[in-house]
Amino acid sequence: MTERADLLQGTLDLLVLKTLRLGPLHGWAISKRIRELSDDVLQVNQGSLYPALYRLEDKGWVRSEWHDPPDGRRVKLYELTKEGQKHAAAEVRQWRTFVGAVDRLLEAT
Amino acid sequence: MGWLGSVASRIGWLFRRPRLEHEMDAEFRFHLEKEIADLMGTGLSPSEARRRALRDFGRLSSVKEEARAARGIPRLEALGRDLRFAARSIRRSPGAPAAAAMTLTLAIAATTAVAHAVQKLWLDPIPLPHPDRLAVVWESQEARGVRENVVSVPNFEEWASRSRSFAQLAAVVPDHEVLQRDGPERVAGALVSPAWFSIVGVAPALGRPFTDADVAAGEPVIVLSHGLWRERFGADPHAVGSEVPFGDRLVRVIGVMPAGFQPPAFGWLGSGQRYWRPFVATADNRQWGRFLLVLGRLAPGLTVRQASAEMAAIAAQLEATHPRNKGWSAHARPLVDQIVGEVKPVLLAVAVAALALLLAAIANLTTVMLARARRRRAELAVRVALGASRGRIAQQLALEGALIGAVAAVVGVGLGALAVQALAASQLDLGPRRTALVTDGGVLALAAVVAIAVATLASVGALAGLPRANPRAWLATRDGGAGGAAGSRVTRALIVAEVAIAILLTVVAGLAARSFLALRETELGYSAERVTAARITLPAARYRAAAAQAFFAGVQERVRALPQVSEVALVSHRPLSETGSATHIGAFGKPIDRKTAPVADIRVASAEYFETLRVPTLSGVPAPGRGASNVAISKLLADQLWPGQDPIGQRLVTGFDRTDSAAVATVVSVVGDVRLHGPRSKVRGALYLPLETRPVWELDLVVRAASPLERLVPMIRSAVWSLDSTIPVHQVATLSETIAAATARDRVTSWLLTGFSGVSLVLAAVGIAGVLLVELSRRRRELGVRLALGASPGQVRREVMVSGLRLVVPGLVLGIAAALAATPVMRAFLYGVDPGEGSSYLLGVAILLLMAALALVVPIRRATSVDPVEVLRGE
Repeated sequence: MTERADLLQGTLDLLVLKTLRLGPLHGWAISKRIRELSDDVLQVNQGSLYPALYRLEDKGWVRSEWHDPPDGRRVKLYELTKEGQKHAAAEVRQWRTFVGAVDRLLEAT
Repeated sequence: MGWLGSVASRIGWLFRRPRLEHEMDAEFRFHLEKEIADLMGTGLSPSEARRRALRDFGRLSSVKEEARAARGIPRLEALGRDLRFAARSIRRSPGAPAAAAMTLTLAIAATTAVAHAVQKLWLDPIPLPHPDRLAVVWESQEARGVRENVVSVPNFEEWASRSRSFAQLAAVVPDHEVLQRDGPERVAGALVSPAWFSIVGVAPALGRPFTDADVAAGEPVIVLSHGLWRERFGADPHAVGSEVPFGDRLVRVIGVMPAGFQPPAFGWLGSGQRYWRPFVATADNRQWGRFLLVLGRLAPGLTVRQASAEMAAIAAQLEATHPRNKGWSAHARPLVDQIVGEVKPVLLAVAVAALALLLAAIANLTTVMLARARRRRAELAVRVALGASRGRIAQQLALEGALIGAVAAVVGVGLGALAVQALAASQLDLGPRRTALVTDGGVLALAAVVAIAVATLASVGALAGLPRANPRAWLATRDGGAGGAAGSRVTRALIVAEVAIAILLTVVAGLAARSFLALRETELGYSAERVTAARITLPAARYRAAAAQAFFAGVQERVRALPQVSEVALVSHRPLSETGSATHIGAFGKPIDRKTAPVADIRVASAEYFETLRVPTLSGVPAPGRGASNVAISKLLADQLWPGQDPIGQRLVTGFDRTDSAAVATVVSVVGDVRLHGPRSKVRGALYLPLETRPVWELDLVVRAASPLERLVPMIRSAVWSLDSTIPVHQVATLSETIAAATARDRVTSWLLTGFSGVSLVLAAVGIAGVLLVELSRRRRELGVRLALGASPGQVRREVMVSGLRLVVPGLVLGIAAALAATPVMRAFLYGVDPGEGSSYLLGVAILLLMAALALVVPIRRATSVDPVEVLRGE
């Protein structure tokens, strides 16, 4: 079993935004994608994904829509809004700055 | 999504809540099913997959709670909960909130009404394009103290051609004429220079304005007001271009002004102008002296001050060249100032009074809410101890305040709106813009917002009066709290001021009420009951003197025959008429000395006049007999002319025709004195000349009848029209109405003062109670200890009363002093009451003490009900 990292507080929003940049997804797929893309290192506490999604929706960065595919199972798909895309880019930049700073700090010691 | 959108989505959520909850369930279920399927794909058993999925998901209920929180919903729900809590807490101890709400309601009602008056009569712009560019130009004669005099035609013509600071100047003359259309009607309008239309900046909605070309052509033309066009022409567009009989000739209608157009009204020009005809300068009217009103629009970039200077300079040139202008100058005044000028100081005074009232209400509110907050310290402390933040407590208090404010807003604004309507309906002189006084949604809304904001702030402000956020300090009954001491001095001063204002207003209101009653009971010398007057004007061009006599006699005869009419008379001017002649009267044979000779009103009256108006005949024949030289005089005039002698058979001459020996008149009857000019006027002598001997073309028909005005008037009209269908009947009014209008100022002043006095008394009482309660809450422990040590409740009661008196007495002294200082001012508006007279003061003091006693009831009960055991246990 691989080592798993607890999600740094506040990074969940970033990950969700980043994941949704690839296209509309439903909640489970988002959590799955985060796990897969991080080689299962990042483990989203799956329940906490939804408050994050609602919060992002409340902020207007993400919008959701119910889809009724022909095979019958209703799913709620989330996608980035224009504003969300801008924020995603900004958050990624911010994250890079932060990580870079931490890296330099760790290297110095 | 903006802030507003987010609030909207939250409110929307409340309604969508069931659906959203359902969707959340569906979404979570879908997630779990997917996860389980996924895990089973890795080889887990269904039950193991399910267990793992549920574990990874987290506790369902807390996830849901968190998810709801993410939508910002609980805050709104909490608000609802807090509101319910606030309502409950108010219901539990409604005394203080009720007092606070009442105070605020009264203040808001007064503020609403006053704000309307200020807004509508003063601040609202005059509904004309760029009204600030309009100015009125007057002639003035400083040496005689004449500041605003009408203008002569030659001077106006000189001004118009010489002035550079005015783009245009127009002469305006009030006018009235008989319009013959479906029956004659006398209409008011104005004669204006053609430039008037571009000066006011409003063009006719139909047709065109008249121009200099029309004046030059000399064809009579008229522009109608929208109202006149609607009422008398049935809003017929074809009226434009048609000719209508107007006065004694035909005039062509060339335009109709737009609906809602309000012509400038100033000087003696009323706002009820219903038509405009060209003013034409003629060789004749150039000789008439001064009679024009002059309105101008400033040239671009120039100010009224500059224009005024220029007009003075032009007038100085004219003074030098024209002897008739000796001593005369000219100046311009902004139209806005001209229109608003008279009501402005009054409005300002009332606005200050209303603001003071509002401030007092805020002071009261804060005190009352502080007393309440202090009483609830224990409750608040427990809540803080249980984890409520100070902000949360503040929010709670704010909500209580907002609820109180909301009640005050609804009731106060409602009362205010009623007051505005009452004011608009009163016959008070509100200046030319009185028709604009209607309730305004914007002002009402603003007043409501102010009410809620004030109440909210005052209740949160009460929090500042509590000791710092330390629950233990709140819980302990330890008294004081340094925070309030300075504040309380200010509050005490405010309450003393409230008491002073209350006593002042109560005394003044008492005087005003007595003055009004005295006015109403003034013996007028005649009875106005069920008397209606209507004016009939004959065109002198068509009626010779004898024909006019016959016409009036015919009218009188026909009206007398009407059902329910008991008496009919004719008189040159009815009582309280705006005009009417008066002159010096002298005994025949002695020259009239204008310094000492009595001045008497002169009325031409038919013999029935005295009986119709119930003016008693004191001696001589009951009504002056027919004959040129037989006259009636009033008792006062008789005493003035022939003191101690029998006036019957004496002969007199009037100042009008003292040289004409044919005008010598013989007194054949003496009648009672009459206050012809209203209840406030002094009794003046009167001389009644017999109608039969005087050539008159205009008379008031005075009818005493049992039928109501609206039934009587059409009958009078048809009686007149059966003789000549072109004669208008105008100025129709009952005498009682006219008298009521003449005393409107006194009536409204008396009401207003009584209202303000009542409000200020309530404010003072609530303020006293509030201050005492705050004080008691500070001294609770001390009182408890003293009661435990054997102090009697009577002693405590006395102490509370003394504290109360320490607020009341300084206020009382100040207020009485202010009332006494205002005596000279009051004397000017009081009638038949001496402002220095003691009983009004005694009454005011008694009422105030009664209110103060009422205000003490609650504090005394609370002070004497302090439970020593409870207080000491709190240690």
